[in-house]
Amino acid sequence: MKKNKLPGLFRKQYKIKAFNSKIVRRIHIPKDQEMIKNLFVENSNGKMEIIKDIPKDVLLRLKPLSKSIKKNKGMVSRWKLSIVLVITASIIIFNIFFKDRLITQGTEKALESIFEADVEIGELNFSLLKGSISYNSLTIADAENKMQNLLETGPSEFRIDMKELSKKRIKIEEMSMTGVLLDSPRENASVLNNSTSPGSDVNNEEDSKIFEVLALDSGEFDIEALLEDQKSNLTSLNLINQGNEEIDALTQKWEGIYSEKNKEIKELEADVEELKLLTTKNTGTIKEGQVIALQIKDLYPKVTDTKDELVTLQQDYAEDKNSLMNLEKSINNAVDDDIAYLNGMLNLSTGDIGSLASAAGEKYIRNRWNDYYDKALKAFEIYEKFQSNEKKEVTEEKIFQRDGGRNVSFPSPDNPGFLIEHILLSGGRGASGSFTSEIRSISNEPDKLNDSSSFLFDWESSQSTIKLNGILDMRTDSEIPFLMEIESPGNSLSMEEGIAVLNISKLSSKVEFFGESKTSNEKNRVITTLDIILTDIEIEQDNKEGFLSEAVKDILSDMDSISLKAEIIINRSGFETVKVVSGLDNILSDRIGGYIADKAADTEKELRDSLEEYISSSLEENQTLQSSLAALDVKSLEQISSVTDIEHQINKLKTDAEKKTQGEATKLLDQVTDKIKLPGF
Amino acid sequence: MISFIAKLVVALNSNSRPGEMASGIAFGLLLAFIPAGNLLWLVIFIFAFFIKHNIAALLLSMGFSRIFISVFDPFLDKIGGFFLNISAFQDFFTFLYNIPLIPYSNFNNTIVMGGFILGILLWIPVFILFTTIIKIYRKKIAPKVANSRFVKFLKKVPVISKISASIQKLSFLVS
Repeated sequence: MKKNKLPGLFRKQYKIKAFNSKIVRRIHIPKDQEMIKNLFVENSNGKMEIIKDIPKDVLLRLKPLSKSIKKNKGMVSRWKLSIVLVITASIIIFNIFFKDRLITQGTEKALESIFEADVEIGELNFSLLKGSISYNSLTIADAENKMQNLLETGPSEFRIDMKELSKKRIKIEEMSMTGVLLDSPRENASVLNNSTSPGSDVNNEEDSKIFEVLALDSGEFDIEALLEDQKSNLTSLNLINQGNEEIDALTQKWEGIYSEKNKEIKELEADVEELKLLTTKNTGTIKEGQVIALQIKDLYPKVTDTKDELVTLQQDYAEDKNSLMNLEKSINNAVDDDIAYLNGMLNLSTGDIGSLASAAGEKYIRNRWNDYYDKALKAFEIYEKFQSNEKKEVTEEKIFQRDGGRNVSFPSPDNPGFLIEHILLSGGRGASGSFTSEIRSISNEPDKLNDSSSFLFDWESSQSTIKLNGILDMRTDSEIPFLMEIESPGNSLSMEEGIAVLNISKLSSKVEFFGESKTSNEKNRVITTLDIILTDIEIEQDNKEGFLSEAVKDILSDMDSISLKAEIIINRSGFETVKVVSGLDNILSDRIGGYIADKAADTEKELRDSLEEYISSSLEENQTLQSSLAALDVKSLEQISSVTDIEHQINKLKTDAEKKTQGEATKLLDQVTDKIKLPGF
Repeated sequence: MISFIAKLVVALNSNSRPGEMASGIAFGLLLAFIPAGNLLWLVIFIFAFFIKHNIAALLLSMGFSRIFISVFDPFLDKIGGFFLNISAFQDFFTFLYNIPLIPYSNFNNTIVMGGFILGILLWIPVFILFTTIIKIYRKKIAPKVANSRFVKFLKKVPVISKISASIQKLSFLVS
């Protein structure tokens, strides 16, 4: 059986002061404290010593008490210190073996959540002491097109100012990225990318449309097909057809009305004939006279009413007819309008070819600059994704959400919270050329910077070179937020489609661009002015005969260079306007304008003849219908004449009957006078 | 949770310094007042971790306080705002703001500063209050409670008996 030993702490002898501080004060249970005080007694040396005969139950309580007294010693636990040592050792091991791997995974995850697409980082190396992060490759897939990378870079390095970082400010002293590519094909998508994309067909279609509009040779037009195609838009044809329908309806309506009236007239004529018969048979008796008078009285109002109705109808008919008879004038005007409309469809020049060279220049600029604009938008898109992600984090809800509070600013060296002092970029590959770029002072607090941000961009390929040098001043008091000088001296221009209107099947030359871009006064648009100079112009002509071809060849061979001035206004949604002015336009206008004007006049005449022929059948139908309608006029007059004649006949019959009846009446009166002698007579 | 409560009960009845528990509770309250996620909170937490006091008391105090602490945020905001804008301290704060690593403490945030000030001001009263309570408990209440019929009855309740078993287990370990 294990013997209960007295713990070492209690076997020692203590001075009274030490006994109180080392034993008594470290017991916090009053009962235990009292027990210990009773167990210790002062010995002959004046020291406190535990008594010899300790009861067993007390001995059992002394062991845990000793442990707890030892535990109450000091302010810091040893086991906690050991935890610190373990953590320190873990950090060292992590730094040596796992740091880069974990940072790579963390960064990939973070970027994937921002871009919502696959992100791969190759061989990342992070040095906390040096303050540098470097990696061999970075690819960010395009979330909208999985066959492409949004961004791809080669070996890159970021040097971070750790002193600034310790003050909660991110200052990247130098950021150098090589092999930068935007919209590069993903490795697994390279095969698919070789095939022509549907988008490129659309672009080619659009290009060809631009030059179709410029085409003027009437030989290229199929006027008949154009008329057939534009049938529904031809006002004259529609007007004639609509008029014909109305005339037809009106003719039918009036024919119906007059046919009804004809019946009424026939009935009246029958009544008159009957009356005539009665009058012939009339022997002159009063009774017969009364019968005839009654019939006349009955018939006469019918005749006068019919006559009145016919007169009113004739007026109504005349109004209807007149409204349609003006159609001819309207059709003539509509033909002129249609000619103007069809001219517009064919873009028939009046000889003023002032926009010809400008239009070609505009097309070239749009094609060339669209690419740069797209790339600039992509860069902006990347920046916006970072911004939107920051906002998302703020709105995230948490349980027991606490107020954010307010941050009180204190003066600090005017360094911004985020600053990239120097960015070096290089990239591009293959036929698309290569570029180098240097950007200085990019910050989220530009007002704290003494200078504006600046950039230098150099692009070089076998076909073109471009140098952009500019500033981006986002400070609140800046007068010009954006200013950029453009130099692009060695470009080769090749217009494979040529300029059909000038009988040029292919044009090639060298082009130089010089100019500047800056923000407009409203600050939401960028205005770019460019001087464009074309030299070493070479043209190919399929048709070398004729005035036009020779004139164009002469003009271009006389000219050492062609100058164009362009003004391009760009806003957030793309190109707002592209205005191009060229001296070549005036020369072309003088020399070729007359020729083109004649050609245009011929085409217009041809168009007019064709249109008139096209609408001739409808016009013929119109004339026939108009004749039918006019014939109703005669019918109306005839009917009125017939009714008038009936009226005369009735009047005559009435007079005859009156005469006969009057003779008989006089005779009867005389007889009465003879038989009756009145007094006084 | 039961284990935490058991540890607390063990500490309350063991021969640990009353100040250890009181300091754990006071630190828990301080850490609850200061919003987490900044260097100040981390430094105080590490400091509190190394000091010899009852971690269970600290964690329980911090956990319970965090539930309702957001109610005090407007008040903390006012205190912090007032303190940070005292003109006499501007030079000191500016100096502090420009010392490496200090900006990560977010001391210039009104809630952080308000929580820190209130936490520090309450630390001593809370410490004294709980030390006194524990002393009174150990001297007067604990012996009576241990022998009371009510406690004996409670020990028969399954949940309480589980806690009691934990306490005994822990007491054994401690001793």
